[in-house]
Amino acid sequence: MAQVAKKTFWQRLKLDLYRYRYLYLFFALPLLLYYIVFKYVPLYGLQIAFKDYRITRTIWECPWVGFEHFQDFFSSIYFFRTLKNTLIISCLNLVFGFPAPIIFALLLNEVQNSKFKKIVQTVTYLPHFVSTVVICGLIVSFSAKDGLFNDIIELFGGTRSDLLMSKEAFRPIYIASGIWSGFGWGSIIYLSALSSVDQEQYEAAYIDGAKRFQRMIYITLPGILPTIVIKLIMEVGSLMSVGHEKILLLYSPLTYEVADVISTYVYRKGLVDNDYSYSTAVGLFNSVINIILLVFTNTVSRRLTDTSLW
Amino acid sequence: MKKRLIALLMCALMLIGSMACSSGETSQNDSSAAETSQAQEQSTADSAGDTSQAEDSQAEAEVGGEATYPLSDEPVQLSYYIRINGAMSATMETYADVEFFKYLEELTNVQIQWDHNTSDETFSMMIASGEYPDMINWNLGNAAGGVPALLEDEVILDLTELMPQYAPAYYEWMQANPEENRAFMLDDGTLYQFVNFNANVETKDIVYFKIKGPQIRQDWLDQLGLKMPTTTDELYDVLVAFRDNDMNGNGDTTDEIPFAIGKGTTQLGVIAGSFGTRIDMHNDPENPGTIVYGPITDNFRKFLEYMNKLYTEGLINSDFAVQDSSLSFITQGLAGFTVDSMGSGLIANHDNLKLENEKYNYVSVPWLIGPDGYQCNVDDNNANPRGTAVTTACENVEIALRWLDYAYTDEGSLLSTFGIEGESFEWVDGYPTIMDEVKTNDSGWSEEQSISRWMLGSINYPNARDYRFYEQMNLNEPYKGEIQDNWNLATEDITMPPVVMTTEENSTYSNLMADISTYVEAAYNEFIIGERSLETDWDAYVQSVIDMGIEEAIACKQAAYDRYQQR
Repeated sequence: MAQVAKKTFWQRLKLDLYRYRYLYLFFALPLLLYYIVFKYVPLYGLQIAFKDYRITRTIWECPWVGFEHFQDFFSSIYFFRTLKNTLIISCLNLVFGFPAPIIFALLLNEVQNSKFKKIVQTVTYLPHFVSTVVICGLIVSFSAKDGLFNDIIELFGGTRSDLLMSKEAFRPIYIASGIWSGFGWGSIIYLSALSSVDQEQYEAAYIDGAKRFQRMIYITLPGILPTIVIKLIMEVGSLMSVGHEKILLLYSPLTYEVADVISTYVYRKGLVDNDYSYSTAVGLFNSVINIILLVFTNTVSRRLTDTSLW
Repeated sequence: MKKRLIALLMCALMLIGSMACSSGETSQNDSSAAETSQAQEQSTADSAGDTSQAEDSQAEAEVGGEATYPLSDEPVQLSYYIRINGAMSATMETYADVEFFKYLEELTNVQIQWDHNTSDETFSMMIASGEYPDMINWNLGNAAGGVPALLEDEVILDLTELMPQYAPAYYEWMQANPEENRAFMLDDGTLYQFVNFNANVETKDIVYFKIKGPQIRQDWLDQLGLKMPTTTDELYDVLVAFRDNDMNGNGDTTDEIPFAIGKGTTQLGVIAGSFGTRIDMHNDPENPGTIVYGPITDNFRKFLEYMNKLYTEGLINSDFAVQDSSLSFITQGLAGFTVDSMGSGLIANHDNLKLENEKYNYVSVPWLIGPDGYQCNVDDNNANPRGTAVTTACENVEIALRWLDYAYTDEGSLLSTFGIEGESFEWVDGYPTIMDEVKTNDSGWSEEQSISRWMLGSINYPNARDYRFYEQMNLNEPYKGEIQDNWNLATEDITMPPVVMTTEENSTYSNLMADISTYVEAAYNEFIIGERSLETDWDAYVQSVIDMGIEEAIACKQAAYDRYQQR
């Protein structure tokens, strides 16, 4: 034991590298290269957030401007609006969207008929494979005055309106359609966690007289809790990154006030108005907040549940 | 231990990263610097070599400076970034398949490598990469920083001195049409692009066609015994009648859309013209020469009052702010009145509807007169034209210019518009007539697709397009008599000419306007649907646009406009 411990890290690494050289060559190296080439090298482009970048010049040639773009953003009238909308939309997503796949997985776990279970699973996965553009196309036509949603509203005694032009309806539509297209796919990870829960515990609980619901609460849920916590940390870590595609496809000038988030603002500034430096600064600000949130949640989780990303 | 490892790993990664990019960067720098200096040397050498010549034969150069074909004994390759027209991309991969270009290659011995992968993104990528094709055809004025930045940063060549030498035909057109010449140059007289225009080769005049304007269902008017509306008030009455009657005869009086509007500014903008304003910067109709920002003027308020009335009374489609285009209402035969460009797509739709309903008749309406008597044209035909520039990467500037110039010579104008004599057109009583064989085909192609195999007449390609093309094509119905008369009627033109802002003005302006236009767009839509009240919220709205810095943005445009006037 003592001798093994004396080997330094480098010696062990060397040995390991030699022993599993093909494994490292074919699996670790490509992955490492991927991260270097596509994730770390592009980081150097972030400096244009502190520069006055012009597309016809190289990044090095452009003059430094310090935090000017950040100041511009913080003093812009859209700063609070986009920040507020980003937070509201992701919090709603977290509150309503996060539990959905968990509840679904728990329910599915109770289904005894395996054929039915498989069919339900497949059907719920399907929306995940439908392109966002197509989903938004569906939403747009369903929300139209003569669309499906209005048919339902009228059935329950409401009046028809153009839902996508309404500030009140935008967020519910956005969140609900997100849950619809994502909960089946999102439940996969929980279902796999469920399969590793010790079956003997169920038997013991059954003998002790625990009812089905009690077994679910006291055995199944604690069994997948680490998975839930890890997923939660990652969700909170991306709290500030509401994807822009779906919002871009659904919003209109009339709903900017409730729908315009940081990523759509970055899109408009960067790709529509060609203000690359400014949009990089906004995007960088967004990422910094995300990292802070990630570290914060991770710390809290480590203190409370001993589950941690690192 | 673990921490140190991570730290080490990070260091290694960063080192590798920075080494990789810095080395890549410098080598790229060197090569691009070498390229540009080479190109510069060449262009200065060219112009230096030619100035002495030019001085002797300046008169000659201005009228002729004839090219001799082929342009080179050895085959020359040039690359060309240009959008492929929709009708053409349906039937061919590149423009190399057009008979005119086959002929041109034979004539000039210049082979073109066509790059049709065009979009705002690929354009930006191309500029950022520093690897340019020899020629670029794009809306250069819309590039980041505008044309001045492209010249300053040595992307495109300044052609002011080269054009009279190597593009005499184009230069002659510009000299003969000073108004267009002014629109296509920079403030200091710099020439940099070749643009497409409709040409009368005999008189050397540039001819304009209006293709966008108000349109109405004449058969609905006839059905109700109504007159063609001439003012916005009359339009209102007509729309009310369209709403209250079962125009399409399906037993349902509610499904007609009296005025079909799609999102964006196309349809709204034209109605704004009747109130003497635009949804953008424009020339103040009261004080021509003063630039105002339309959406905060009193005229705009009146326009919004009118639109609000139409919306509240159900005269426009209620989803106008999210509806992609008014076209779907037209194709369903539900739209009574709309504003659109009479492109070939719309014409085809009209033709289909005519097959179903023989009475169906969609006709052009003269620009409507507003309550204050304005009848402004807001069709911006020539704002920021798409043009071809030669880049600094081009090693055969002379050949490139001569090659581009061919399409502006009398012969080139004819052949580029009509294709090959005897194959796609023939002279009938001294009139170039497109042959019927070319218009029809067995492949199920439309007429436009079919003729595009031979000629460039229907597309926006930099040539002097023979205007006689439009006189004989069905697909271009809007170019004919009545429509042109109606849409040329507008009394005042409040549209901005294609002014050019300096790099600084451009960056100030686009920074301010990006935020302002987002705000304004939301606001005017809210005014129309009544979420904001024109009585109580208007002043606050105007004030906040002023607070966002609109004055500074107007000043930028005004300065550019003043320089334009002095060109």
